[in-house]
Amino acid sequence: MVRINTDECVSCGGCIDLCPTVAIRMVDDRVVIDPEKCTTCKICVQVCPLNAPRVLEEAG
Amino acid sequence: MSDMYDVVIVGGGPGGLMAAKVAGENGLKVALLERKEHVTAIQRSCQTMFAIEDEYYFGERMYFNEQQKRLVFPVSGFSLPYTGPYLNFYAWHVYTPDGKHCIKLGDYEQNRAKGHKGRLSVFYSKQALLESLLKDAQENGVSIFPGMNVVDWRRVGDVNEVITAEGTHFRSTFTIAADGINSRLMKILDLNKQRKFYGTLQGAGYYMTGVAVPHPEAINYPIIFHKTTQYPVMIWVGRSPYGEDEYWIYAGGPSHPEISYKDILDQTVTDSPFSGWFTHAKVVKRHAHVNNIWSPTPTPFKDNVLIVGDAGWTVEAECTGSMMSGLKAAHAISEALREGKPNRAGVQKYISWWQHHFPESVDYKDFLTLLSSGLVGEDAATYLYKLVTEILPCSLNPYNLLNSINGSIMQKLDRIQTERPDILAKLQSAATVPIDVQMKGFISTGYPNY
Ligand SMILES: Cc1cc2nc3c(=O)[nH]c(=O)nc-3n(C[C@H](O)[C@H](O)[C@H](O)COP(=O)(O)OP(=O)(O)OC[C@H]3O[C@@H](n4cnc5c(N)ncnc54)[C@H](O)[C@@H]3O)c2cc1C
Ligand code: SF4
Ligand code: SF4
Repeated sequence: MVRINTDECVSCGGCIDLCPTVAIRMVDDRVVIDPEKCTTCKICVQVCPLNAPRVLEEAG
Repeated sequence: MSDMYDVVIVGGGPGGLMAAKVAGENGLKVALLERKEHVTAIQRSCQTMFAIEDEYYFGERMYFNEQQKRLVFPVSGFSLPYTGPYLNFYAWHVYTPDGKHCIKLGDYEQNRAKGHKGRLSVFYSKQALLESLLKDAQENGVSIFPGMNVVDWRRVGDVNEVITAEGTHFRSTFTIAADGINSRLMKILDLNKQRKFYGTLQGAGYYMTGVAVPHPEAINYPIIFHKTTQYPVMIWVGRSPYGEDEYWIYAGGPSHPEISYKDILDQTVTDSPFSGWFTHAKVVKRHAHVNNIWSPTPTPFKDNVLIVGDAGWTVEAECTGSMMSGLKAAHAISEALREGKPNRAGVQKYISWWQHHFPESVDYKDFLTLLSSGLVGEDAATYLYKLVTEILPCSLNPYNLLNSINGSIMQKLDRIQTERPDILAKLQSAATVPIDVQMKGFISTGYPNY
C-alpha cells in the first residue's frame, strides 16, 4: 500500500482527484489513504509534485 | 440527510462560492459541500493575479477599482467588494534557460512610472476574496458543509443526489459541479469522454521571503528544459499578496515519470543560473497542483448538473472566469425554478452563455501552443528567444501572449535561415503538425480521469 508523508504533503488535492479507486480523501485538511481501497497502482506517487506519497513494501 | 435543496454546490473555490452567494441572495435553498475543513484556505498553487485587467477575456472587461475597492465586471453587470491587499505589477519578463537573456513584455520602467495606470494588473489575495464570498453566502442563508468529500452522484427520478465519503446524501433539484480542474462529477457524469485529453500538468512551489529579483514588480518567468526528457518547465517568480516582502515561486510543466517538479524547484533555487535571486531567501509556505488538460466541455450541463469554472474548461478558467460562470449558473437556476422549468430548457441561458463565451470566443488550442512551443527544445528555444531584443507589448491573455513573441520571431526568419537553417526547418514542420500530434508525448505521460 501507499502512505502519504504528511511533512511533504500540502493537501493540494491532486492525488485525491486522480486516484482511480477513490481511496484518498481529505480529513481535517490532511490527505489520508484508505488501505482497504488502495490497490497500490502508484498513480498518486506519480502525480504528486512534492513526492509525498510513499510505497510501503509490506502490508495492505 | 432528508433536506431537499434547490441546488447543491460541490466545491468551495471561486466558482462554487460565487454561485452559492448569488443563489442565496436570490432566495434559493442552497447547500455548498467542500472537502477542506477551512473552506477558504489556499493549498493549491495559484499566482492570484486578477485575470485579466485591461483586455477583454471571456467577453468580459473586468478591472479593479481601488477607490471603491471593488472588482468590477461591467459586461456581466456586477461588482464585488474587495478590501484585501493588492500589489501592482508592470511587465512580464521571459528568461532564456541560461539566464542570460530576457524577453521584455511590457516596458517595466515606463509602466511603473505611471503607477496604477501603467500596471498590467494586480496580485490580490484569493483567500480574502473567498472569505468575502463565503461571508455573503452565509449571510444569505446558504448552508456550508466543510469536510465533505464528494465521492458519488446519482439521479433518482427528478431528484439529484450527491453522496459523500462521510456517508451523507444531499438531495436537490439542481447540482452545480464546481469541483475544479480534475472534476469528479465530470467523470461520474461521463462527460470527459466527449473531451480530448492533452496530458497532465504538475507544479510545485514556495512562498518565500528575502528574494532578490532584478525587477520585483514584474512576473519573472524563466523557461528551462528538463535535461533528459527535454520537457519544457515554467518557472514563475512574482510577488505574493499574503505577506510583507513575500514572493510566489513555482516550477511546473507536463507530468513525466522521470520528472520531479519539487527537485527542479529546489535546483532552481540552489543551483541554477537563477539561484542568485534566492541567496538569502527563506521558505514560508509550500504549494502544489495537478491539472489534467482537457478540451473544454461542449455542453456545461447534464441531468440537471451545471458545470462551473475549471471543471469544464481547459487548464484554467482563472478565478475570474470561474466566478462569472458561477454567477451565471446561479441566476439561470433561479430563473428556471421561478418559471417552473426545473430542466435543461430552464437553464438554456447558461448553456448558451458558456458556449458563446468559452468554447466559441477563444480557441483552446491556441492556449496549448503555449506548452507545445516548448517542444522545439532547449537549444532552439534559447536561440529563438535571444533574437527578441525589442520591448514587446504585453498581454496577460495566454491566447495573445505567445503571439507577441512569435510575431517578433517571425520577422527574423531571414536571419534564422542564414544562421540556423536547422531550427527554421524544425519550426516550419512544427507549424504544419496538428496540436494533438505535437502533444502526443505529453498525452502518453499523463493520467486521464475518464
Ligand atoms: C500554477 C497556477 C497559477 C494560477 N494563477 C492564477 C492567477 O494568477 N489568476 C487566476 O485568476 N487564476 C489562476 N489560476 C487558476 C485558478 O486557481 C483557478 O482557475 C480557479 O481556482 C478555479 O476556480 P474553481 O472554483 O473553478 O475551482 P477550484 O478553485 O479548484 O475549486 C474547487 C474546489 O472544490 C473542492 N473539491 C474538489 N473536488 C471535491 C470533492 N470531490 N468533494 C468536495 N470538494 C471538492 C476543492 O477542494 C476546491 O476547493 C492558477 C492556477 C494554477 C495551477
Ligand atoms: S498530490 Fe501530493 S501534495 Fe497534493 S494532496 Fe496529494 S500527496 Fe498531498
Ligand atoms: S496507489 Fe493508486 S489506489 Fe492507492 S491511493 Fe494511490 S492512486 Fe489510489
